[in-house]
Amino acid sequence: MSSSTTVRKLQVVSPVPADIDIANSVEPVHISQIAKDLNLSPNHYDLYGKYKAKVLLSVLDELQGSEDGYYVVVGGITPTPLGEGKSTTTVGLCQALGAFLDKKVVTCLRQPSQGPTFGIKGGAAGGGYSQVIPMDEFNLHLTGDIHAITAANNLLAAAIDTRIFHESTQSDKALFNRLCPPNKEGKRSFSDVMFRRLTKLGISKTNPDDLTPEEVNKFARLDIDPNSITWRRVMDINDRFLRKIAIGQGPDEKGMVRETGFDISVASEIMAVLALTTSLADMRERLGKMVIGNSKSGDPVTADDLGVGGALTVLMKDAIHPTLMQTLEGTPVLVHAGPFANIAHGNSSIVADKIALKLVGPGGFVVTEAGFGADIGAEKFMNIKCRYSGLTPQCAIIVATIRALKMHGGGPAVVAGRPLDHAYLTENVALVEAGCVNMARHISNTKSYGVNVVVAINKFSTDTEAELNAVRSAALAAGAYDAVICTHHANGGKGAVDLGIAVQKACENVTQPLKFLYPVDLSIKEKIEAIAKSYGASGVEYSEQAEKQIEMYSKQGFSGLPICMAKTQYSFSDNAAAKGAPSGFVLPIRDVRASIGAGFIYPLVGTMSTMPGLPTRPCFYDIDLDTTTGKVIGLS
Amino acid sequence: MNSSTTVRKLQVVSPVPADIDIANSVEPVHISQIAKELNLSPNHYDLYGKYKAKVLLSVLDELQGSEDGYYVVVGGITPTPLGEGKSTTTVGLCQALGAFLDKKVVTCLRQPSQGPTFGIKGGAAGGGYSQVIPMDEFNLHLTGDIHAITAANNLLAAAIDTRIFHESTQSDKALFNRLCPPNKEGKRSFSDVMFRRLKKLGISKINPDDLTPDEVNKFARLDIDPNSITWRRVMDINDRFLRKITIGQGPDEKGMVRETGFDISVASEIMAVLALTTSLADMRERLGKMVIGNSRSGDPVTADDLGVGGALTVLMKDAIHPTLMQTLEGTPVLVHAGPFANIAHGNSSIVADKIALKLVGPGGFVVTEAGFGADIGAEKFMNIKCRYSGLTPQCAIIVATIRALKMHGGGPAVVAGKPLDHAYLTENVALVEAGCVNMARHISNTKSYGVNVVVAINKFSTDTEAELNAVQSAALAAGAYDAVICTHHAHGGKGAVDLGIAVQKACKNVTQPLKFLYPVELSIKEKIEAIAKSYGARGVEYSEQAEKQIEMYSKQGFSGLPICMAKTQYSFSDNAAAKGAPSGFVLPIRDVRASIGAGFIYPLVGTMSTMPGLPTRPCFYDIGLDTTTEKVIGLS
Repeated sequence: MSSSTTVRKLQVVSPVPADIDIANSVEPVHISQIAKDLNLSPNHYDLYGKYKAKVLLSVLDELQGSEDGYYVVVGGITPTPLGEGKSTTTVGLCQALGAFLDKKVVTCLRQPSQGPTFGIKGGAAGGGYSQVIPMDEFNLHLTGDIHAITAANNLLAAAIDTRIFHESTQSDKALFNRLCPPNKEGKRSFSDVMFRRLTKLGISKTNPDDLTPEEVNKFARLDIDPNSITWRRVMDINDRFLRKIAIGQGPDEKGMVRETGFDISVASEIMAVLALTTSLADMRERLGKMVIGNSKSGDPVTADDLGVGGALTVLMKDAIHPTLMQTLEGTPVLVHAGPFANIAHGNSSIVADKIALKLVGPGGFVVTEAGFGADIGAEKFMNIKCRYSGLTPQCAIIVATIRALKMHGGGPAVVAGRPLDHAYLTENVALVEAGCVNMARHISNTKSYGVNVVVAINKFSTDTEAELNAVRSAALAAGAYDAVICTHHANGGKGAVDLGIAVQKACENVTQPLKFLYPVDLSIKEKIEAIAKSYGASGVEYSEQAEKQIEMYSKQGFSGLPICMAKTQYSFSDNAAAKGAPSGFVLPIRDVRASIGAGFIYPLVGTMSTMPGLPTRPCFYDIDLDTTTGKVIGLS
Repeated sequence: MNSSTTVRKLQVVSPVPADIDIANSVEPVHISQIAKELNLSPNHYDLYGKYKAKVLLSVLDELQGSEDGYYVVVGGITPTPLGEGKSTTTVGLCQALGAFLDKKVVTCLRQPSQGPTFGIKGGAAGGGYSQVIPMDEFNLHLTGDIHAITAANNLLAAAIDTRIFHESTQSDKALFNRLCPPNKEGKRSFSDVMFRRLKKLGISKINPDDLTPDEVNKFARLDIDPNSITWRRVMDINDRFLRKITIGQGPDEKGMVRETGFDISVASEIMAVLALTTSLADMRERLGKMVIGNSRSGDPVTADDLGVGGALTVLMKDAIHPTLMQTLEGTPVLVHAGPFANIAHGNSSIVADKIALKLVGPGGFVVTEAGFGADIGAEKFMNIKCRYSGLTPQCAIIVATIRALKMHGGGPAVVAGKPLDHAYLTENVALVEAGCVNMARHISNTKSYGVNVVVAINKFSTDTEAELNAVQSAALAAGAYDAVICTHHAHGGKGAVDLGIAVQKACKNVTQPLKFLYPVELSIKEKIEAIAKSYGARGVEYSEQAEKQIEMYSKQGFSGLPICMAKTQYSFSDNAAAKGAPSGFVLPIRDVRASIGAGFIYPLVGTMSTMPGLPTRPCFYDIGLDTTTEKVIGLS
């Protein structure tokens, strides 16, 4: 391995300063230097300012023949509301591998939503001395991918309501005449996207004038059932007042009022498409196949039926390229996609991982983070993402904290924004040991995929030696390949060197092939039940609505898709208060929905909020700009 | 002047191909080359891919001591719905000046909204052989400025409804406790933005604990009157179903239902702020001063009152830098801001113009376009933009077409999407001459600002020599400095060389200082009446609502702001069907609103739509991506 010219070792200060102050204390190197260290030629990336670049997919063609590096996924135990430091561990590990262990390494992270940045504390760039920089560029706009998703999602939404409106006011003939207007020579033609609908309808004619009146009716009239529309508008702002709204109340909309709402942009199916696509052509197909609702006769209506699939692809064509950034210690980071980890699969993109694995090459490391606990993010990483990407991970890290383990052992409730109970600030080995059942189940579940599991014990200042050692022993007893105490928040990469060494060994010593939890050809119910079993459930019960939806999706031909469970992140079960490793419960499936273009069915276990609100004193009170230096202040 | 190494002369084809095909037939040069030709150092711009760069405001500090170039504004006669080619003329003139007349030149254009690109035909990058390239990058996303405006606008909207909600559910003490929570040491403090509200209230204390209960009430309770809220959410998509909506219908919003709606993003006041600001510090002030509505006691409530002024500035901090692009013939273009020309002032930004004037230097040319006819865009350019910028134009171009002049002479109605009447396709000198009264009034009005007026007669293939000569004679008789026939759509810069020569002479021979139509210290009514007089009105009548609003704004201290008339672009009068140069009419002011942060009062003459809809067959049917070459197809 050649030594990188851009990595640097940090001079740390104790106690650890605020994240934004640490981020601002380190001058990033020009991103072209980071690219050069990865052997990226200027033809394969586009600069976006001095510290960001978009890595073009064309680099995959160039590196098609080279081997992949090692592939590591970071998950966690079931978290407290405060989070257990998965992002910080992901970054710290990479700083260790790159700056201290002289390995080629790329971190692959999700792009954070902008909404929470202005609402509640906590960015997503890691923390302390393990961060992606520049922090403000990471948390705001980045390179506009979420903005592109917002625009594309809302273009499709506008197309839906407008089409319903136009169909309600025009005859078949008038509709068709406008859809295929004669050109200056009086000749009509179908646009490219229209052939997709014609194919779906089994019409093979290429000249609009040849269609029979019945064919005109079928082609021109989507006959959307307004009550079946699942597509909502999105916005990347926390705005609870848009959760449920009525639209179309203007006089010109002729009484076509409809109830709908806004999700936050990262909850859009288009975000999930971006994360799961493997190429530009594949993205075009997935976008066109997105189902927005049904016709009155029960057929799924797609974006291509509405004529908008190509336009969505155009809006997303730059978003498909991941954004290159760097850590505090100068190691490369690819930031791409950021789907929710509840109603979507909570992982960064396949294309970023594929590019990174080629760039680091054999013996190099790609580390990606899976959202929430391993029952959610890592499960979906394995069963959805790896299935679509065809990639094989060697190692899964499970991040654990004493705080969370005490909670699982029976400690008092942990509430965001409230001081921690005394039990979390003083030594209590028995409480920690009691909570290790949660970690043990995550280790067992994750091992079943065939990867080596390493537990990263994220050390806090209140943790004692006895508590830390108890966790380490419990992890090894539960079958972890290794368990390592880490201090990367306080010490940067230096604090994760032991973790880096453990991960190297884990990757080099894989003995099992990748094994999915279920084959996709099982029925929807059988797949749901396989996942529920991994949660410790004794069975599953389906609501009437869920049964109806499962029947509909099966009838429509979508039963072969993987399952993306939408479940609370705070428990293995549907009950957020059930800590530890609950078992013997019946998992209630309240509803079942689908993201057909992204390619998964998502059962709802309980209610999932897809549009957060703002508190009384949102973080925007602290966020400002020094208009002399242009620096952002007050980001947390 | 040294000859540029990036300009090139076009090989044109007849008949003129589609805009996207012409744009795709020319390979742009790397934008760093365009920057180099302008003597921009890499420190003063950030690349955004290969063909776009953001020019940083810091270049103004560097060039503070150098002189400005000539400043030219392009307006037009009152247009048909098809537009008369102002953008094409602006670009063609610059191609002529740069590629044929060897002058330093920068074009300053507005960024087009993304909504119309997917809705109706016609981009804004010029047309034919006079275009900004790459066309797809110009019409989609660009460098994310409109996305930033959307996010900032909607953050403020969410802050409004959330604040009303939180105030309705909490006591003064609880509100204050959350707004100024104690830190870990139990000490409370005000954030920077809070001091703005304290100052507004006349409270000089700096320690929250020192406030009296009455002061706590005044500080913590904005007491927003929901019926007074003027701030709407925005989206950069044509979506008529969001024109009028009801929000807050979710169960958790406790019945706080409110009627509101969405505008298209370029209609946001934040867009107008971006266009009229002169620096980062000035933008911070303007954003904070935006008024969203009133308290129940009638006081204006600002973005700073809501605590969000700094956060808005952070979201907009990169948007303040203009985007550098190029024309088909390689001359530089600065694309920045894109406010509506009806409810806002319809001009690109002051900062882009200031940067451009320094970059071209003495003897160079900056050409900027003002939206719609000269009664709207050019009037606001003079009376609003130049007032705030302190810049002085030398020349105003008025673009005229035979088609529009025939319409003004009494020709049949011109309707978008319908074939032109026979009268527009055959010679009719008398009809043209009859329509020249419209052009004559625009010339007279524009000359009154002290600039030399050049008429650019945009030649169409159906125009005859006799018709063109008639317009030229009429323009000169009306007092134009010169009148030139142009063919830049068909011939690129070569077709505008005579226009370029005329503009050079006009700039060198200015004899009058810049003179505004009215001083700002006049009352709101007096200023409205001064503008109405320039329209040919004999008087103004105010509705009851308008009277009430004028009284409110005057009482609130905003009567010193310039006036931004929101009037139909299709007539000097309020009646769109009144062509030619109508006079003797009474101009009805139906309502009066204000953009306090942007800095203008806007009287409404008739109804202005701020959210367009989509037709039955929107342009998105034709827009797609060649996923092999990554080229955009079907943009018009």
